Amino acid sequence: MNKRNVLDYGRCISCKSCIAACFYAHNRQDHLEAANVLVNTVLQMNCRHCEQPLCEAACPQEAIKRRDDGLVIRSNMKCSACTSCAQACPFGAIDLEKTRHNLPKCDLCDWRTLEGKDTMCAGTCVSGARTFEDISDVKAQRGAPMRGARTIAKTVRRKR
Amino acid sequence: MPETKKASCLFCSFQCGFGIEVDAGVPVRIDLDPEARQNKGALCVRGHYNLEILEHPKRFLAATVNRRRVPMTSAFTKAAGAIAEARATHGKDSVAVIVGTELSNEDYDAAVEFAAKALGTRNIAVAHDGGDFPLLAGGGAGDASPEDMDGAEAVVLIGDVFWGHPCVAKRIIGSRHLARTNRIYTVNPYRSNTDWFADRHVVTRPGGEPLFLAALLTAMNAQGVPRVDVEKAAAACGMTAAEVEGIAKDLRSKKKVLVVASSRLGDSTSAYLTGMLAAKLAHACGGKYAPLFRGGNAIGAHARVGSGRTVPEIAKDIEGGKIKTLLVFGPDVLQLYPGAMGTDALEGLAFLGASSVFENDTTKRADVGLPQAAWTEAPGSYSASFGVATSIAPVVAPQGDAAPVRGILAALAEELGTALSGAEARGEHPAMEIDAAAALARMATAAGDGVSLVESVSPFHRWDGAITGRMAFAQALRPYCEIWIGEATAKRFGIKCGENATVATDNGETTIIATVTDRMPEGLVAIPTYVPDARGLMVWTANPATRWFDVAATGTAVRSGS
Repeated sequence: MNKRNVLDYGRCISCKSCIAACFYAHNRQDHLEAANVLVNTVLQMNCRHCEQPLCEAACPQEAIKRRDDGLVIRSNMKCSACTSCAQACPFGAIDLEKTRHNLPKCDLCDWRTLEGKDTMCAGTCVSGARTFEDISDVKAQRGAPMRGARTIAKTVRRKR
Repeated sequence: MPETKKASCLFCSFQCGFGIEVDAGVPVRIDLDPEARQNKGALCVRGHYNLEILEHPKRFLAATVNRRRVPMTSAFTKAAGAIAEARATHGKDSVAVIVGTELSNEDYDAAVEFAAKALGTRNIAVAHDGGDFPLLAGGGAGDASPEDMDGAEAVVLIGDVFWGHPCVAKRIIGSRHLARTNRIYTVNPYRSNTDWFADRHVVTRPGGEPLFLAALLTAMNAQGVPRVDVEKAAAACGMTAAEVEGIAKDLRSKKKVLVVASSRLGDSTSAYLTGMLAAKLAHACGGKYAPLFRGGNAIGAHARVGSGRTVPEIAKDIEGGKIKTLLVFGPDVLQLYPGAMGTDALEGLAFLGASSVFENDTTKRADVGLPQAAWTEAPGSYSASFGVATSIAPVVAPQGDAAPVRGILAALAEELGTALSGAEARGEHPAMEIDAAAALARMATAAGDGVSLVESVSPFHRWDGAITGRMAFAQALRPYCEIWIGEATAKRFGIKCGENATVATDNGETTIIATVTDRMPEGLVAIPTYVPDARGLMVWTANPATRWFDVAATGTAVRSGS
């Protein structure tokens, strides 16, 4: 599978529907992180499911694995909440779930996407900002959509 | 085997369609419904709460008499006895019924028949929130369809439409990108999240939206509308007459125009005129009008329940001792109308019966509390904005002793010796007597001195917060309430971004975290009215002309809080 979540910041209305959808679809765990940028917009920092995931390399418990279909999946049972993956992730996409002592990360809603449906966050998006698209198409059409959150945080254009 | 059942969201009048995955009668998770006509699969934060309502630990699931749990039959007997006694002692018109805006059309039919046949009273009213009632009275339910959002060449959005009703955003923003000449105009007192997408944001004074609409209509030379001095009206909106005429010319040149108004707390005359003038503006441009309401089935309630009485009038009669027994189906009237329908106002009642999905301040105070089924637990039909009619089958069986309102009413009627037939009702609403020209003249000359409070809309809270305040996601998003204050105003009062600020009015004071933002103009502070403390700062005054509440704050002051 070569599809990924893509976000067009120019269309985001900062309603946090994507975060709510993720929260409720994953048994009330925050898999999708968000940060307020310049007060006026919300920056969703979702997992890119990297080709060479640094989180996988950093995990001492081998809880994170890149599957053959390209998804980087974390095992709840193996995770010891050491935060190594959170520190290794260059996109700030993993954060500690303090109440459950593990580090939830995006699983690209594999129970839906394997059936051909969109991810919950993309499907629920009320403004069309978040889409679930083939990444090669997106790269061809829009240049470099998968820049890191930290890069975008510095360069995202402030909305009027 | 899990099965996905279709449902509709009643958190606002857009009534988004979605699915709930059910496994052996147990709701498991929310599913999206890309086939839903109005939202096409999109679902806002509030929509995702629909599952949590079904499994919430604080659901009201057993009947109470004086706050003690009893079987439903005992509660019905107790309520029927109290109603019969009140009617015998004080007369038929000493009993009143208030219904909420999240009930089904069948529930409204049953309530109207119950009031007429079982109680013999004309005292039945709908507990609309904020500006719903006057906006409906002014412009009706609109004539736009969901398809009118696609490819609209010009859209006029009045209020923070995208945060109040997020699921309309996708199609409206989508049509904006179809052609370079497509335009979005927004009308709002401060720069909301909707205004980010505007080609022109018209900044009016709070409640001054009708003045801009009247100026546009005057510039278009539209017939049958109050005419205003375009130059003065434009100046009140921080524009020139030429700019207003430019917008009017642009709107007239478009083939597909859509005007969308969302209701807000405030002056009921302003809400009424907004509805009336927005509808006229749409028709003057050959376009369509769609109002969006806070109440999920506000349109159905308005169409079916109408006895000539409104909540302010019933509140006044309770205060005057004319109404001694009150039956409330759905809303938490104590939180919905703080002060106007507060604990003091209810002191004069001999009996209060209340049904609700959650235990709330009204059911806690009620002599008899009756558990009500959620909208996804009972079959029903609903009337949505954009002319959509939805009909849903129950997703799961009602929990505990909870029952649909029509079932509760049928049981009460039976105790009172009457049977309900389920006949369809039709609401009657006397025309409002409003001097539009005088109201618009007042708006043009209103001075903007001191500090004004306006409500801030939240995409993850319903208007009074009675249900959404209990939801896990809203609670996880702390601080979920904050005031917005402009840089100059914050400097004037010594308030810093991220620190507490105390907002005081004649009604009391509350301390909330402040966000200093350039979206707020000088002298304007936005408060989260979905938080009961903040909502209580607003004074709800009955307006005899509109027969509704004017919601405003007097004696407002802001200071750095602890």
